[in-house]
Amino acid sequence: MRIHEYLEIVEEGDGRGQIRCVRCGHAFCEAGENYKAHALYRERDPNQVPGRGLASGEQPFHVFQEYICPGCGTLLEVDTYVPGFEGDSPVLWDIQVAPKAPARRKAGKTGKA
Amino acid sequence: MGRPRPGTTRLDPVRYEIFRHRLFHILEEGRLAMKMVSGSPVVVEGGETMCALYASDGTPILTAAGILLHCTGAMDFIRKAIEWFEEDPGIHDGDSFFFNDPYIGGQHLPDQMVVKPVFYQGKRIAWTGSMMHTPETGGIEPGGMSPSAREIFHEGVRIRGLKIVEGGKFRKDVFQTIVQQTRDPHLVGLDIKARIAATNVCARRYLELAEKFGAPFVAEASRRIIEDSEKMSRARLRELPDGTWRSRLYADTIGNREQPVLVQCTLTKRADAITFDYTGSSPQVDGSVNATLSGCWGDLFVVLASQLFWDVPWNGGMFAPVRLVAPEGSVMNCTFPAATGVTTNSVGCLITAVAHECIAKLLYVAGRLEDVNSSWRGPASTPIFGGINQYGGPCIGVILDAFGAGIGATPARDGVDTGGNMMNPTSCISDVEILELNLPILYLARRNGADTQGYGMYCGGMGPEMVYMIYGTQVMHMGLVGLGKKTPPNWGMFGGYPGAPQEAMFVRHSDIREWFAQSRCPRTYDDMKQLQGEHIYPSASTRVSPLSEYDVLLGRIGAGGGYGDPLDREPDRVVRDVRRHALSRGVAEAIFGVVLDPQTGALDAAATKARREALRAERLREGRRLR
Repeated sequence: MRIHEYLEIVEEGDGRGQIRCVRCGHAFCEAGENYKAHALYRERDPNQVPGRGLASGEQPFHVFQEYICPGCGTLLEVDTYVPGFEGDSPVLWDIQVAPKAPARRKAGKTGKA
Repeated sequence: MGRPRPGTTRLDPVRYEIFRHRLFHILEEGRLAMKMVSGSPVVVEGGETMCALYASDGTPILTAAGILLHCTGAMDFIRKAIEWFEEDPGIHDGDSFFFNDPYIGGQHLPDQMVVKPVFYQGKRIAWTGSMMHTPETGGIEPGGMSPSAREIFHEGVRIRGLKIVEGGKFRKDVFQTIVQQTRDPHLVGLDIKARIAATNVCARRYLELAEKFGAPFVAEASRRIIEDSEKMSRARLRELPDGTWRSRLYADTIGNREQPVLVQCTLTKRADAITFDYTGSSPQVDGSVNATLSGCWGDLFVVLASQLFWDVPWNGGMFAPVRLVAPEGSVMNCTFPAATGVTTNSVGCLITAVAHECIAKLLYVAGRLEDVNSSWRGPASTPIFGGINQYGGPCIGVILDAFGAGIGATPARDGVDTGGNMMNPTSCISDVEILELNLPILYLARRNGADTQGYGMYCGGMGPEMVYMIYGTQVMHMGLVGLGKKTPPNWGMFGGYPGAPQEAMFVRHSDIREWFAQSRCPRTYDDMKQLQGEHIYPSASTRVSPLSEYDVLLGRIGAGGGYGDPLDREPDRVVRDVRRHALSRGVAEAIFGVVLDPQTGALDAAATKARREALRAERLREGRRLR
């Protein structure tokens, strides 16, 4: 089951699902885990990202969190994070598909995969 | 068709569809009446109007709206009118009530409403209501949205139900009491009369339907519209996979000062029900960006109506499968008397945006790719004005360029440049000529901002940049309401980046006249930096302060979020972006890994391949494992 432009849940021989990269096949983790915790992580200062800094030169509050496939270097997600909020986990678990989700319906163009 | 339930009327399906469509067009006619009477640019150009019909207990039957935010708030006004006024002073044929308390309905004090009971043969059979944003409320700053407000008492006139029309007679005493508390009684007064006109139109037309179809048919068909919406919503949810999706964004001001504010959402979808839980978001703040519970529902409605239930008639049935968890005392369910004026341009937009990210990723897993899009621009940093105009009279105003912000990319295409605003699907970007007619300003430039788009395999739509100057007055105050300078106003999807920051710049006491003498005109940040004068980079939300003639201002509205890894963007698309000045060469190379021939601007395919390989290798080298 495709859960992301670059990620899918593949059923293993023992019936358990595993999150894999659709491009290189890299296995991240069990389907019930947060793939981001198993990705490569790079933090970027917005002022160092062309077009995302401030003309004033002021420092923004946030950093960009980049999650990268360790197998092929594909950029999987760019999250915004402002540290300092109590109880706010730095690594956001954004996709948590319940087991036995219905089959995916084909529709529209999927873009480059 | 089976046997009708006891006490109900069998509905002929053809007559039912005729009735349903007629009802919608009645409401659209009501909206048109509002536009014809109101002189406010927010209404006439911005399209910020809503008309709705409600059952006799206040349950929404059908809504027509320019601004989706308003669709949910009005039903609570009607329910409170029934609760508070049924016995004393009574609700009679020919009455209309005025409300604008965001702790009952709407987002903030400028969201003002007139509700009118509809009587047929002596019995109350329905309500009709009209809502629009009015540009002035008599708060501590002009424009109806006071960035400096710290409690709602600072924000202007707050009415919890007054009979503006009684027994068919317009209450001049009530009217004067409201409008004379504001800085622009004429404009505010026209808006009130526009709401009354709209409810009159809708009530009269609804009674014509009751005459034509009979009261039992109208009552049953109205109930059926609500029931059908619930069925359609639940059917949509059953098509989607179960699971949990999360998103978070941050505001960068609390209205009166810079301070990060966390807004996060957990979407849980099970069978035919869906929950949006905002637990974990920031506590309410000592500023003007808070949302009331009513406001939070309105913000959530924006994304439900536009992204998830876009084909479901808008009424109470659409909400039946939806549960909202907004902790009391948080920034999305503040307690009285917290200020709320700036919420629509700040936390309110983030409530929409985080729910949108959750829904987009849910829809992707469901395979509904044609419904998936990355973030729209999110909130804007919008200028508010007040002062003396070029004709010597009072003026207030809001520049609505934010209604032309960038739209998010999709799994199959780029977003639309300066494309629109999710909260207001019928809105128009400000008409420059009308603005210059009504306000003492002169536009020097308005264009799509290069490098503003959310980078990605498919890029978000660019957001507009505007440069204008104060012209023809010595008395003008201006502030900004919004966010998006020190934190992104939106998100990218699956490797796409969010749009550029919404950073404004003012040059006070500028030498612009010398530029004009040399046939020059500032259009960009770099141009602005070359102007002589006092350079100011205001916060995204800034209290109103005085300006002088020939002060120059640059504003930027947000862009759409990108979709997918920017290194997957077809190189030819990047070359086209550079040629049409949508993208700088530096960004093309650093973000997209596309190298152009320095002389011809043509694609250097070999260098591009090498550059992209180098960028991927850099990611692998610099990325670290978290466990």
